[in-house]
Order: sequence, then C-alpha cells, then structure tokens
Amino acid sequence: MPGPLHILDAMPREQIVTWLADALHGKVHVPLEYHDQPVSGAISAASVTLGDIARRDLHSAAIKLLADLRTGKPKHAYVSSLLRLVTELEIRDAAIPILRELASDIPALKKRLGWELCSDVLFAQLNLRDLRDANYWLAIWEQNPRCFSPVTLAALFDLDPMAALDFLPKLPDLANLGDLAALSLDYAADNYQGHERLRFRQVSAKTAQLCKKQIREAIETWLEETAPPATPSGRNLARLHDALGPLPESYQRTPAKLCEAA
Amino acid sequence: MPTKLFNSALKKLDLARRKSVTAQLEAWTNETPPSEVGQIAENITRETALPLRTFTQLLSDFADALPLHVDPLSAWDNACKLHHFATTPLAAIDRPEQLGGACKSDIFLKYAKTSDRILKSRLTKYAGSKNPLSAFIKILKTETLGGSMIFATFNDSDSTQDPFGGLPWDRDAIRTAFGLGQFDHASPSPYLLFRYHSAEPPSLTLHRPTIADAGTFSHFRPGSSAKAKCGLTCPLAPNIRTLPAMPELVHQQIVGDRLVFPYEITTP
Repeated sequence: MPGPLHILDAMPREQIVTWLADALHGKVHVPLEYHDQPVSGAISAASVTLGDIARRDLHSAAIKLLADLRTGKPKHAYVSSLLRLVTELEIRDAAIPILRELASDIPALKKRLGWELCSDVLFAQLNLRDLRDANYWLAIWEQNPRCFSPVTLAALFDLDPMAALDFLPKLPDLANLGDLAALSLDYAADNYQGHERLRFRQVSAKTAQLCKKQIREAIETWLEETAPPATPSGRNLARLHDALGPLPESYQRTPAKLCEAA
Repeated sequence: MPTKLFNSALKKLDLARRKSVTAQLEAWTNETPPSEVGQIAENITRETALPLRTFTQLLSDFADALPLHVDPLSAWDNACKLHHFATTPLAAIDRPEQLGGACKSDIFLKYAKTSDRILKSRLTKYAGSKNPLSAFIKILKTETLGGSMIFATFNDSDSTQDPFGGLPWDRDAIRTAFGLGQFDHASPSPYLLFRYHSAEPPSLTLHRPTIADAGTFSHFRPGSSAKAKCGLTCPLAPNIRTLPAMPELVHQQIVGDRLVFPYEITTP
C-alpha cells in the first residue's frame, strides 16, 4: 500500500506549493489518522512516509507559504493551520527568521491578520524554541497585555522559571490567566528537585500575595494541591498512637526476634 | 455487491449524473496499486443507513462537485459535508450515558493558549489521574474536543460503564480496535482517550454514522443492517489479539465541560 501522501512523491516543487496551499485551505483531500484530525497534524504525521526529495520540497513549500504571510490578508483558518504545520514539521532554521520578521511589527501584523493570529505567530516562535530573552517578550506583552499574556507567560517560564515569577503580578486579573499561570508553575516545578523545588514553591507563595485576586487564588490552589505530604510531628504521632491504641503483640515481638537473630 | 439502497439512489439520478458517479466509482475501484479510494468506493456501494432521499442527493451533489475539483476525493468530501448527521437521532432511551473518543494531542495544541511543551507534558503527567490539577481541569473543560464532528464509542453491554471496555491501553490495540488506519509506522505519537457524559444538559444528539459522516476516511465500514442503531468499527488486520469491533456513533463538536476524569494516554 502506498504511503498516505504518495502523490507528493511524483510532484515537482512548484506543484507541491500549490497542493499544500490547497490542502491547508481544505480544497484537496488529506488522509487523516482519525476523523476530524486537524489537517496540519495529518500532513505532519504523513510527511515521514515521503521520500527524501518530496519531504524536502514539502518543507520548502511550507516555508514559501509562510514567507507569503508577509503580505496580503489570508484567511484566519489557513494561517492558523500553516503556523501549526510549520511548528509540527519543526522547520526551525528557515521558519524562525520569517516569524521574527512578522513579529517585528505587531501593529502592521495585527492590521492584516488580527490579534489572535499575532499571538499564534508568537506561539509558533516559542514552540520552535526561538526563546529570545525576557525583554523581547515583555516588549511584546506591553503592546497588548490581554492578548499576549499567555504567550509571554509560557515564554518567560521556558527561559527562567524563577525570574518568570516576577511577571505574575503584572498579569491582568482574568481567571483563565490564573489557570495558565498555575499550569506554568506546575510545569516549572517538575524541573526542580529537593531544596530547589521547595525554594521555588516558597517564592511562588510569596509572589502570589502580590498578584491580582484571580491569579493569586489560582497559584494558592496550585500550592495546596501539590503540597508535599506533611511529615507527622511529635504531637501528631502521639495523637495517632492514642487513636490506634497499642501495637499488636506480634509487632511488639518482632524487634526482639530480630535482635536475637543478630 | 452493491446494496439495494445504493442501486435505488443511483437510479434516481438523471443519466448524466449517474454516468459521472458510476465512472468515478469504477475509476476508484480499479485504481492500481489498490489504495484507500477503492475502499471508499466500496463503502459507498454498501451503505445501508442513509435515508434514500439523502443518499440520492449525496450522489447528485458528488456528481455536481466532480467538475469543480481537481481531486475527486475533495469533490466527495465536499458533497459529504452537506449530509452529515443524516440518520434519525437516537431516542433518549437508547442514548449511552458515557461516551469515549480517541484523538491525538494535535487537537489540543491547535486551541490551547500555552506552549506545546507545557501542554504535552501536563497531558502526559495527569493521564490516568482522577484528580488532576484543578487549573488543568478548568483549561481542558473549556477546550474544544475534536472537530466539527466527533466519532464516539460506548460500552454496549452497560452504557454507564467505561466506554473503552476492557481494551488494552497500548497504541496498537487502540488503533486496531478503532480501525484508525494507515499511519502506524509513520506517526508514533500516542492517542489520548477521553470519556464524557452524553446526558449533561443539553444532552447530545447522537446518530448512527454513515458514509457521508465518514467522508474520505477509508477505514470506516457501513453496517450491514439498515435497522442497527449504531455503527461498528472495523478492526485493522491482522488483529492478532482478536480485539472486538467497537460500537460507534457520531455527534457535533463539544467542549470539555462534559469530560469525565481520568482520561488515558496510550502506551507505546
């Protein structure tokens, strides 16, 4: 059985560009892994079955279409799908300069594509690990805090989680941003161990007090839900002993037997 | 062997459309080497659940779309989109309480407002957990699950129970039992398996799937009985573990507020 995108193996590069544009516009059939899979996911999954030449041409076609986003007013769903595809194909070297160029003039990009797609362009940059530095993301964020808070949050936590905590008090007071902040903290905390993890949680708890209500509540909930199990104190152990009563005889005898054996 | 329903629908077309449809189905059937289009043609001739009028209109729309598309499969896909959810909705008494669906993380990555790394790592971390992080639950509950149409399975011996029954959680088992196709060697990423309520208000309108719902998904198989209330998946060959065909229904897109935890993630 031929591969799902075997037709591309026989196409010249220019034709693959046309095919890809049509596929992302939903004009040509793309074999899916499951019903209603996003086209970008299906193309990306099937691309590994292509021959080397067709796969290379598919990548360059995606880059050509990405470069075309520098002008015109393409359809929202098409742009969103193309950005997902470039991310899923992980075409870093060729895509990053174009994404940077698109993001370099947010007001112009917003005018052509709207705020949501501006955010998608920035997420594509982030997902391709073009992390830049904190100042870059903060400058982006200042252009529209409501729209760019999610991407700035994710980027800053990727760069330096401990430093990213300073950004939390700046977040607008929105419940979904609180949830995203908690998710980012949860992700970051998993990369710390032992004392470092404890320190990260302590600083998070302090930072929460500086945050707006819905952000603070989400962080506090995260802290509660992920708190390490408490070590029983002396007083708690005594209470436990009172509640359970004396140990069964068999338990009390065991140490003596072990001593005898030793 | 074409069904009576197919022959009746075809006969109702005018001569030009009938010729056009017949020629395209023959071209698909005779394609060499055999590919998914041959199976799609066979499915069309074996449909049993579509109302005759709808089936006739579907074939007519297909004939009209053919000259407008370079790719005949796109013509078929576009014609199908006009006839989704064409079977009579399941009566409330027949509606399974819990449904299940399989997808990949690409659905979530498309909509989520966080980075792929964060989302993928959290999906993996909280798979199988009855009490995931509440912030994560809130995010999932606002997410769109699937596209404009969702194929769902259920437990046909007791629809209040786990819709995945006793299926093993490995990727091969899920792909085989649900007939998920040709990408096995190509796409090793895991499947996410979701359980959700059908009855939470508003209750979901559920339909038996037809060839129009399947569109160009070649691993769909139309049921042999016109009276069946649901469809059945066609497990992929060779199905060494003799995994059962799973019952299937279709419904409109939903958001995650119906989710029942835990969700699962397939093992390699």
